[in-house]
Amino acid sequence: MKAASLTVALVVGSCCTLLACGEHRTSTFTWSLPPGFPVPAVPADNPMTNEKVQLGRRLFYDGRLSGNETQSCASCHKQELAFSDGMPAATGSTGQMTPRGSMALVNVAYNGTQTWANPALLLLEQQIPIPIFGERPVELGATGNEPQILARYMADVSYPRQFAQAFPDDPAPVSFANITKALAAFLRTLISGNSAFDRYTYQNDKTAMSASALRGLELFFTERLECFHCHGGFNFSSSTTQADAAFTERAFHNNGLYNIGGAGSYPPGNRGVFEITGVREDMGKFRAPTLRNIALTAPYMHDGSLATLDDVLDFYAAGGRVIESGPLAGDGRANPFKSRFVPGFVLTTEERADLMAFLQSLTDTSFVQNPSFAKPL
Amino acid sequence: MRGSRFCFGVCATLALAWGAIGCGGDDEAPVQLSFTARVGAAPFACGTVYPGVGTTAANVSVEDFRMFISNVRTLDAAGGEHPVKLVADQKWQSETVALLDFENASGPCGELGTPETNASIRGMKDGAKIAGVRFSLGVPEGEAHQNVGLAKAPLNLGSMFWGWQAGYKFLRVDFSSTGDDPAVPPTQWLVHIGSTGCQSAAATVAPTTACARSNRAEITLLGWDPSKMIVVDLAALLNASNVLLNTVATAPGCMSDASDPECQQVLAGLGLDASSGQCAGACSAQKFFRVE
Repeated sequence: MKAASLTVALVVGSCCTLLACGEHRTSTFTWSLPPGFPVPAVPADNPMTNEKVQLGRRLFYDGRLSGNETQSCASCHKQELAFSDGMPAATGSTGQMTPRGSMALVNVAYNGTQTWANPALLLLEQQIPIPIFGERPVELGATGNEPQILARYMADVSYPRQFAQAFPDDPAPVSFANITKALAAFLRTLISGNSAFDRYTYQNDKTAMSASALRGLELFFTERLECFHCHGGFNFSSSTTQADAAFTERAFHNNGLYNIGGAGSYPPGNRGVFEITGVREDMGKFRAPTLRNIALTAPYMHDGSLATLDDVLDFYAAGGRVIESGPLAGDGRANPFKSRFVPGFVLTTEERADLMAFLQSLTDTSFVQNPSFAKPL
Repeated sequence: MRGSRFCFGVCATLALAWGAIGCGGDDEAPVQLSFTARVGAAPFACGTVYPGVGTTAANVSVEDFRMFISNVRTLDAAGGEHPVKLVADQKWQSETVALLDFENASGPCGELGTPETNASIRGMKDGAKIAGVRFSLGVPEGEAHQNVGLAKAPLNLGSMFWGWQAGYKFLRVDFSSTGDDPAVPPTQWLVHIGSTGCQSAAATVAPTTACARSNRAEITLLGWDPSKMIVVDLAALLNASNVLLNTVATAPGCMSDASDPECQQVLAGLGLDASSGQCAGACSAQKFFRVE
């Protein structure tokens, strides 16, 4: 009897939902998540739809978004490099240099905060306007060119219909607000979870990782190396969130890259969370990026000042970097704000090769070759 | 319109029926365990420097202070145990495990901390008169080794997770210590208590058998009732430790390794026998918790 009542209630409930929705104008989006991955958090005012994702994908690869039509998002976020660009710092559409490297766009849907070092940038919808509109430095250079940029889309043969399909309730759908939302929806689909490590760990393929990579995995999770404190969890980052996250994990770390004058300083203009908060203890603190596809995203650190993964291992083994002379001189190992998880360690030659093999096992070839993420035809 | 009223009626009826079944008796009542963190007599706060800690009277600044509590039972006057059913809130506690979080991510707690704090455990108890409380400092074995990304709150918390093999940190207190000589750099101590000797194919594979050393302290507090506060005292835990010392080639502080000299006093302070990871004599020598 009770079961029958429940069934009736569910049926009625479904009817109510259908009626409330009115006509179906956007298709239902279904996450295709790798095994072991949680559902990403999506802001309530920008639900995922296929139409938005496809519009965002087209916009991502389209140079019309830059003021002078010379750059698109993809200029600095190349799929074959896990959506990074291989440069220590990026050059904007008008030739200005950014102080930091283009971050890889890997599992950004799970980032606790976006960009390198800003505790207030929680959402992709907040981050995306920075490269579009930023003036110091100019990246895409939309500021001052807004009407022209929107006019390019409105004059296009298919964009107006695509915007309308992605934002069916908006009477004027071709807008920067909607460009931002569509780009965010596309970026949330850039999920990498099919590396050799994933196949071993989540897909029960015990042949996926070499013996050396498995030894490296063990080393990675030891208290001797301490790697996992900042690069832990399913996404190998201490700054991780998800749809059912109960807590705000937005970690930032000073890893001893600089110590100018022995007082803990980092190069002016590139001092991490300190630039935002002005709090001394935030000097040199940056978000630990995911290690997924890390072998594809050289050079390393926020300013690209470590060229190779070998350099990165040397750096962490030393517990920081010593710069002997010049304006940046200082012993980063003794930076007073350095993370407690960067004490340094000693690796044998074999251990070093094992750790490298593990880092290589985080490369997800299917991610960098996924046609759904590529430039639309 | 008619549909929704019908829905409401059915749901209300079901809710009433469910309530009657779920209550399991008239004598079930809410109960709360209230905790307060201290360093000796002083209330705990991130950024405060506490003098006089350990055998060398070191100055201590805390960077993290969190722990998991499970298997909560009230005790009656005869020592009988009465299980407390935790009320799941999708954040601090599930039906089986609760997170106490005394750090608020300010100052030195900022690197891995969370702004949210929690100093209480909420559950349902039976009608027995309360003469004490007993709980386990840890995550139940069956939940300790899972994918943190898919775990339910409060276990979906990366900073309290070691990995699939070793599982969760039951207790995490990170701090740095200084002595009287300002020229000597601070000593980093990390007290990460969890199970050890966990066997599996790899660090990211859950063990199928119990870990060799459970390291779950069973805490008994006689004389507690819900009107009283449970004090969690870091200075008492570290009373026999020299927190200015780290044995070379061991983890900084105590990361539960039974062979680490610094772990001997810390595990003893939790009432545990370091070599077995079990309670030494019902963990009655624990110094970390007390009733006030």
